Amino acid sequence: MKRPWLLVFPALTLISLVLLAPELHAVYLSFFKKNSFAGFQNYLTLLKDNTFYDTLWNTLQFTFCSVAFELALGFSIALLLDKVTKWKRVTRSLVIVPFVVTPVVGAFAWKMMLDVNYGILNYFLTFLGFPMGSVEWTSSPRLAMVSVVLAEIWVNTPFVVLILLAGLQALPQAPYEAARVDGASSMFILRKITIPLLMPAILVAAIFRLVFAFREFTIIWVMTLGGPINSTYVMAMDIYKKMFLFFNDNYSATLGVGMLVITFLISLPLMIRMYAEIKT
Amino acid sequence: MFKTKLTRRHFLRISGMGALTLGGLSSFPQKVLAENEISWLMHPVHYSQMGQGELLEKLYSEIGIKVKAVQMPFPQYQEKLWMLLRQESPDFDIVSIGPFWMDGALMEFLEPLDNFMKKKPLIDQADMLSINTFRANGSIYGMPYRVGARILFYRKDIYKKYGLKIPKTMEEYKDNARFITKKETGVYGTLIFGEQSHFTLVDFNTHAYCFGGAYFDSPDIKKAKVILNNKNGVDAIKFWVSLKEEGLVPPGVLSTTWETFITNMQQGKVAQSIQVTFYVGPVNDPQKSKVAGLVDWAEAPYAENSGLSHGLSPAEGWGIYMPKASQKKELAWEVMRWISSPKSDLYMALHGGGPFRTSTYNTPDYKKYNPATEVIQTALKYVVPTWNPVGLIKNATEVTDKIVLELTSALAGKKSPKESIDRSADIVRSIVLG
Repeated sequence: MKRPWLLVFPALTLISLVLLAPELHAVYLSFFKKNSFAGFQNYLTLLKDNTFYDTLWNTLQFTFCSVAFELALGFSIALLLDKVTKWKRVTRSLVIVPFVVTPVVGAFAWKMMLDVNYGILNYFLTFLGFPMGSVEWTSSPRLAMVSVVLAEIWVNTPFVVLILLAGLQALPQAPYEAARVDGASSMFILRKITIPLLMPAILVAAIFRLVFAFREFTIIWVMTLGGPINSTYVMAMDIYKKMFLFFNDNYSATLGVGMLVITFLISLPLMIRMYAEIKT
Repeated sequence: MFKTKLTRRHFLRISGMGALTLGGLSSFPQKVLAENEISWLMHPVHYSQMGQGELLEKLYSEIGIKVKAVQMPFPQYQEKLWMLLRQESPDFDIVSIGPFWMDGALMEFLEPLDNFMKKKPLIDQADMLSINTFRANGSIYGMPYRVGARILFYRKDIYKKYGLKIPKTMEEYKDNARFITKKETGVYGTLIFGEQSHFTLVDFNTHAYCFGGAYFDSPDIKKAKVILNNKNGVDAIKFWVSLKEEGLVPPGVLSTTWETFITNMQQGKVAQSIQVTFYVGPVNDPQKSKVAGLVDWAEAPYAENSGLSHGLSPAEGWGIYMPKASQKKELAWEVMRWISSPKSDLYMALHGGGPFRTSTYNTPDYKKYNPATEVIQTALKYVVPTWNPVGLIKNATEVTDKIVLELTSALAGKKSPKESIDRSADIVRSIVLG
């Protein structure tokens, strides 16, 4: 085909306008302070800002915990769904329901389920000997992060399931047949055949989830507002507050640029690995 | 039907063109308002107190002005309002604002109403409560629209059962809370807010004012000193935190807010609390509350050594304002006059609103509708301006956010009450006074 770039040019232009332009504007804003050029002043402030490090730590905890569980759970569910022969469409539709529910609605549902005095989870815990009201899910600085991670896993695992299931269904059958003929165990097949062959799909799922989890705002905002005592206060929330409630456009733009750089850095190893997988 | 077979290329072309067309159509300007129509940004509870729009229809039939009501829940409401005011957007001619969350930085985008009031005065302005709450820098910027105060909600059946007296002082209030928590199974003596939101600051301020506490020693911020952490302030925060430490409040205080209070009171889990008068209706609603008819109201208590003889309440409620960027200011003022009239106030009062006219409180219909009327009228006599009077405190939102973090740290036991209030005073000093 001659000049294939001509075919992707319209889409690339649109993406550039919608995605790149606001990002470039944010970078531009980050070099100003109340309409005066400030150079790297905002970035120096960022490096000395304790709130930035606190929110970064919370965001990293949230991201890595939720993505790890989503990948593990999503992979397990994908393996199971791949084996289902009857009621295929029904089971797959049920599995993706959390993903199609609006995140705000999902977050509210979890907030109600985890309510300390009236939540259904605490009700079930009474059967295990925990008195009602003894487990303060979203009210405890220690358990609040667990609560939001649970909700995040519930909402986003189906996305991982979809990607990995599609990958599983596209795998060639010849290695499996050869392995079975040689008497390989299921564990061996899983470790030595399924996972290596599925690695590109796993990496795609991981990169997507890492990037989106790092930017998460809705679920945490609805469930805890970043509390209690900032235990679930993530970077996206800090950017939002500084921009929309404290009217500090320049500094919030600086935080946004910082977030972009960090997101790129944490997903870089996976992207390098994915590139290596594609090459082989 | 088609001469050519529909291939993937055709499908992609058609769907691409369809997407572009839909995108283009959505960017068409929205329906423009009619000449006699204005737009009002409000909270859903405001629309509800207008009989789900019935009052606006009456307004149209009487003065011929249509009002397009745009509703938005909190906190999205606050974000939307901040953005449209700062953008100097002409999209809205009237906006509703609560002084308790207002940031003084936005005053420059609001229209002073003095000239309108001179040209076409309000109907019986002397009858209106709290209008001075909306005075800033010598001008009136808003009209009261939904006014309330803090009063004591208590379970009269539990009080009667144990022969408890209505508390006059904070110490008596806490003694009642201790007694009820100990004796009445499944019921807590009181409830306080601890969620990481401005509602927690309002709850703390209620207690602080009843201890004679204050933020500044002068209404003139330029000359004022911060006195938040004086003896009264320290006593207030120690008292407030002790309610949680002694187990007198339901579990989960760090996620408790106004909705939790209403739910817990309706479910009969809380016996008393100092809360805003707007909650009288939901708590007494027989369709939703297990304790409808069992709740009574009294003045908020005061601290014994505070020098007070009545509990004080921060000015609560919402006002209506006119953005400077409005293109229909005269029409907006006509609507504001009509909405703030005695008969409109009564209508809204009978639909769950907070009356802003003395005459409304004195009507037999309202007294029958709201069993707490007399208590509310008394409480309104002892209302003081919020810590953040309209127009005076820029960066109020940031200050609120930081103080709430200190207060919740005290509730969580991460800091002592004294440390938290001292740090809060420092925050006010550094951000407000500079």
